[in-house]
Amino acid sequence: MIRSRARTWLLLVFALAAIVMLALHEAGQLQPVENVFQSVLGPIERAVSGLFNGIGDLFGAVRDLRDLRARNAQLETQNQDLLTEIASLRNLQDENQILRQLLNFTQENPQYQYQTAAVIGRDPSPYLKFITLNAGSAQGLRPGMPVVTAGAVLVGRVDQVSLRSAKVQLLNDPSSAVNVRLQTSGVTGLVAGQQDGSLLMQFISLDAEIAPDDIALTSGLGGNLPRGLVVGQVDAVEKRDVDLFQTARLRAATDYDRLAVVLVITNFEPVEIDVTPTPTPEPTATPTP
Amino acid sequence: MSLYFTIPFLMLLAIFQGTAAPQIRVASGHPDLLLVAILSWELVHARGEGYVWAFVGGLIQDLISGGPFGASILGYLAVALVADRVGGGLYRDRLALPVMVALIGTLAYHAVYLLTIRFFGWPLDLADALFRVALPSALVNALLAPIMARLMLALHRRVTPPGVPW
Repeated sequence: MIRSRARTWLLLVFALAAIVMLALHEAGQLQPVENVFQSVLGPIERAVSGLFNGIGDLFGAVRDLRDLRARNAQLETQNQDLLTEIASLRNLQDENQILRQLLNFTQENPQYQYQTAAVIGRDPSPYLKFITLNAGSAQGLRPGMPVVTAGAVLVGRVDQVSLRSAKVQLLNDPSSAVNVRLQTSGVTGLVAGQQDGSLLMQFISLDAEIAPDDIALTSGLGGNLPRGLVVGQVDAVEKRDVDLFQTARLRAATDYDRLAVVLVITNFEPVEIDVTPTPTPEPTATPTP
Repeated sequence: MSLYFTIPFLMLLAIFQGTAAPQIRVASGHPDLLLVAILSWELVHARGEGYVWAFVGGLIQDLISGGPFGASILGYLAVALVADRVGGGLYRDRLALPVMVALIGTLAYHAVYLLTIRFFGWPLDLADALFRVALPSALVNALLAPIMARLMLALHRRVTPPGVPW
């Protein structure tokens, strides 16, 4: 045990040494010694500091990991929500575009009344081309009404109607036939649906000149359809001298497989042509003077 | 099997036929799940229920279709007949039987259906329809048939109590 006197001396020596060192430090005389100590202690300090920081980071990392997982889950949910929203917005955008085009058509053709309908089904038979609409007799649909889409394009005619749905026979159904007139040349013919889903214009007289890309419009002949609705565009002409008529293959003005929304013209009255002969009055014998 | 199950099940298949199936094309042929289900059930069950399925399924399909009412019923009855005569009740995990019956059954369906709609005024070229639509459809259905037959076998084992051995 150090005695009290010696302790006092020890205190004084250390205090004095400290004061000397303070003085030397202030005078810059201790710098080399300090550098030596720093170079030895520095790495140890960094290692120890790194160790403690590492432990601190480890605890921090666990905390961060928990936060990141929560954040990740939150972002994934947000991402899913955004993807759903994008898909929904794209659908709305497409629908909006279709409806705008249909609206333009209705504004350009105010003489007609329209019923908008969505396509809810297609014919399960590969041989028949029908679509099912989500509007029926409750919405004023009747058999024979023309069905159009944007750009005054004729799609087909209402064939069967139930209370809240209707079946539309598309133009490319093999049993569909529509009278048409080519816009530029004025040539008339009959557009019939083909088995492969294409359109064929038939009964064109052999001397008629058909320009490629000429647009086929409904002629209104027969009174079944309004005049001037677009049916398709001439794609290729088949003309053989041995035939009585020439034919033209048409490009459909719309993709019938991609129809989503259509307009039914509800105030067009198809003309029922009565083919039964009306009795003519018997010529009465006039007495000759 | 109870009609409480049959009708909704066939309705589901018919709705698929009227919505998704037209989008799935192989050449111009489509898969016909109703047809495959009818023949598979007859192959597995063999008690003439295939005819009931054919009638109910055809009826639903005719309601959806714009074609002459009854054409699908006739077509599917032909399928049930093929399944009944060729291999009714013979299916037990064998691959060849449903494939063969699907090929013959699909061709029979298309032949009957085509003749019916032609009779009602659809001007179809039978040879073209056969090669362009019926044959690709038969191939697609033949691929689907073993899968459907396995499903129907599983269903049959669930709904039918085990038989008493002689």
